Amino acid sequence: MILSVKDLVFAYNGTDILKKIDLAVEPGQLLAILGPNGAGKTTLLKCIGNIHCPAAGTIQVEDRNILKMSPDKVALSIGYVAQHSETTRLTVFDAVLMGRKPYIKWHVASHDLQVVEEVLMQLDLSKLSLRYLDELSGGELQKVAIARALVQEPRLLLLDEPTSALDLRNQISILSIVREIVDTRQIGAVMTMHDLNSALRYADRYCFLRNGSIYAECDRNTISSDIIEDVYGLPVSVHNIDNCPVIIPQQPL
Amino acid sequence: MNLNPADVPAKYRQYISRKILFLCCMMVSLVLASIAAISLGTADISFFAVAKSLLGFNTSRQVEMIVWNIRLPQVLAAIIAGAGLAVAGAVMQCILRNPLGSPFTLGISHAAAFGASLSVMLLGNDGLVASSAGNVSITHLYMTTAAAFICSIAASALIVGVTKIRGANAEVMILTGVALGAFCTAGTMFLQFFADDTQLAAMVFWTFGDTGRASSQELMFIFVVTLFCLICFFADSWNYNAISVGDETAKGLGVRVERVRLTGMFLSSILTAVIISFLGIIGFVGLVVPHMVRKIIGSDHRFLLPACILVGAFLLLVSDVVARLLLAPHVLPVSVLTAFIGAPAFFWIILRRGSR
Repeated sequence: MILSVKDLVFAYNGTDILKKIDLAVEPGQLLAILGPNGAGKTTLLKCIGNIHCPAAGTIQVEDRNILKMSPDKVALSIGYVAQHSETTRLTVFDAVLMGRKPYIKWHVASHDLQVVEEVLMQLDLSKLSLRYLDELSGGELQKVAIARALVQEPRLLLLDEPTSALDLRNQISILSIVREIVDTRQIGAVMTMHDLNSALRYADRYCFLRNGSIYAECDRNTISSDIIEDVYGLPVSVHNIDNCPVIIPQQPL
Repeated sequence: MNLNPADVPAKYRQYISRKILFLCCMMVSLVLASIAAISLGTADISFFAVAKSLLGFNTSRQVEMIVWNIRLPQVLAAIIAGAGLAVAGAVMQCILRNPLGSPFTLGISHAAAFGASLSVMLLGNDGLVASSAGNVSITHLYMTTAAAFICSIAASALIVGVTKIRGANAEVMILTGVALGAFCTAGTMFLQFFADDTQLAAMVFWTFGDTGRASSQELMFIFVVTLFCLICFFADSWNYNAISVGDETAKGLGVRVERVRLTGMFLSSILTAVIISFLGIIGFVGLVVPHMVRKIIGSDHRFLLPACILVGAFLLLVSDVVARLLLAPHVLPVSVLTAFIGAPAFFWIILRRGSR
């Protein structure tokens, strides 16, 4: 088990945003957290990534409770890809090298440079190595953010709406990369998504949140229109195209 | 620049080497500018005589006196103040993620001016004497410096305190700083309104930055504080890089963002407070230098901070020399020169940014 979340509660200003969340992710598994706006998807991801501090519950990554670990130790196990990255006058290489920060004390070792080179090559970013971040497109920036998380050599990858501002081509590209990384490195990954069809296509399991609680957990074989209708309050039909479920809203145009 | 994958390591190393070369060139320029600054003045001393004296070779007693007792302290003050203000500006801009971050925009300079004005007001009319060159000076300089220091430290503490209560948010820091600046400006104007002519002249005079104002002991104090802050800033270079791409990303990399932001703000405020309390307000260095350097070598704080030290020191040193020589025997306030040089440079940066 890579990730095990038990009885997680997160409260803000006295209101429970997340209520008794239980989750588990196995090696090589990609979990999509789905649900309407305000359901608590990003909050849950930030709690798992040690960015928000939960009020109760445990979060274990490979049997270690991350809530009792220092942030720099957590960064050795978890790579977090934020929804938005600020652009600054850093080169792509330097921005990705930053992901080695949990390993670097003062001196950047040859091994750190080597890890960065390998990841840049894997994500087809080598040609952009010396370009500044403020010269990149949205899709390229997202790849850089993923590359930065990968050079942390994490066991768990967290992605907050990784395709939210991308065109179709870049969405497919980013999700294919994530899928390939999870498969080849046998790490666990959790991503929040709004695009149900992309999530159904690339993730192994789907966790539907509603009002801060898990409403349903399912996979490709058990997903149903009832679940989606209950969570989103919208009539849908589920079709199977090329062994992949596809959601079509039933609302008349 | 698009690269072949095989070229990446070599090209990246070349890129880093170019940054190091820039730092070396700035270091050499600063040394040469320092010697030139010492040699230039009313008493003409040759460049080589200055170099000989600095290296410990025998020169005339008069040259030794002028070099070691008069001009070197002023040159060192310009170097230390320029370096400190530029780095403080770079750190503020990073932790606030705002290009307007500087001691001016955060009200620390205004607080110092208010403290100095308050001191002049409370110490009475004898706070001012006229020099033979037609300049004015403040007789109760220690008290005025202490008052300026206390007020600027209080302002820094207030910004850090409010920010800590509200969760170390960059917006809170900026808004608190702007409000504080407005408050201190109003306080200074209030004091100026009720001041007599000599007090008013002393208040205005204090705000003119002057690198010759600090004594050797004071200079040593400024140097120690600056050195301590620089070491702390360097230790946080990676953290500043991480914060510059966003708080969430930084936290994901294990950075304690709130702690780094509060520490950076506290140290850069202290550094600024010490410099402007002893030397007066020297504007634009903290704002412009980080932008200039970022344009040249990028935002990687491992290189940005040392480059800001060198460029800030160089800019203030050159401004100080020009201020001394431009209308000799009258000495212009160095802050006028830094603004004259800095503002056009800032326009250029803005235009370049817009055309990209």
